Formats: sequence, structure tokens, C-alpha cells
Amino acid sequence: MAAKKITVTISPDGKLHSDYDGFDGEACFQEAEKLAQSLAQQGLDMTVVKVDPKRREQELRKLETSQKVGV
Amino acid sequence: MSHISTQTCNIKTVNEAVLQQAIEMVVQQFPGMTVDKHILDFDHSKIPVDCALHTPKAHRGVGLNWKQTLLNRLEFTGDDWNAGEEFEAIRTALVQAYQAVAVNRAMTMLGYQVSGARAGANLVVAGVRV
Repeated sequence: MAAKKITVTISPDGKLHSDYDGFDGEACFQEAEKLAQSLAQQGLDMTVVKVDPKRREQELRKLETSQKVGV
Repeated sequence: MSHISTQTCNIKTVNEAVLQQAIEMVVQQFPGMTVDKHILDFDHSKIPVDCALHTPKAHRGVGLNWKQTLLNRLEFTGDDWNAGEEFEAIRTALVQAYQAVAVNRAMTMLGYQVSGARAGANLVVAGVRV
């Protein structure tokens, strides 16, 4: 099973940029919802302003690249 | 399918454990920063706050209050005379650090192995779960 990875980049203006990798189907959106709930427990209130689903080709290309470099 | 999303994010209700870690991060970021429980007003009278961050430039202190605020929201207070940029830099750094600590803890709760790094002005928190 491929590893699931979430990378969150936090900019000084308070915006969070989240990148979900390795999730099947709608699982990434479910995981995003879990993360939002978990963040709420830490006192953070998130509002999603933009979502870009990754195309299958993008994911395959990324997977091929990581396999070539042995990641 | 995976995705990329952008969110705006506010500290709605202060989690003291998260805030404490965030303050420790900010203290390391600003040389000479000290932490106490009061800020100074224009005539150097002490005004009690829940937490105050002082630097050589912002010697009157950036005050943080959350214990008595509506819904425990984080409020900043202080006299920023002649130290407006420093005041804003501390406020920005604290909010950013709070968000990073919160994301780290949230991912850990979901079973991820988490690491953090600084990339220029951004903080990056990455979590991996097998």
C-alpha cells in the first residue's frame, strides 16, 4: 500500500496550503475533513477557499519520478 | 485521487498547550525576547496580561489575552509606539507558529509521522502514514 502524505505550508498571511498525496478516490477529501476536525480541537477554524483535484496523470508522473530516484 | 487545497485559518478558541509551544518557537525566533505577565503603557505603568512578549525593539511588549476574552479568542494588545513593524512581526510569527503546532498535533492525532521545517517565510509541516 502506498504511503499517504499530507504537506501543509503555512504562510505569514495565515493561509494554509495543503497537498494530499497517495489517497485513493474520495479518501483525500475524507482525510481533509478529519484533519479539519482535529485542528478544531487545537482551536483552529479553517475555511476552504480553493480545491484543485490532482489529475490521475499528475499522480502517475509523480509516482514514476519518485520510483526512478528510489524514494 | 489526491488534491491540493488552500484554506484561511483563524485561532477560534485558544488551546493553551498549543499556544505555549508556539510562544517557545517565537522566543527562539526573536533575539533577546523575554516573556512575562505585563506590558508597559506610555508612561511605563505595568498593565497585566495573560502573557507578554518583549524584545529590545518592542520593549513595552506585545500582550496576549485569551483567558477572559469572549470564547477564549486570542487578542493582542500593547503600545506599539515606534515599534509598529516589530509588533506586527511578533503577532504574525505567533499566529503562524500556533498554526504550525496545531497542524503538527492534529496530524499526529491522525497517526502520521510528522516533521516540520522552515522554507523562507513559510512553515512547512509534513505528515506520512503507511
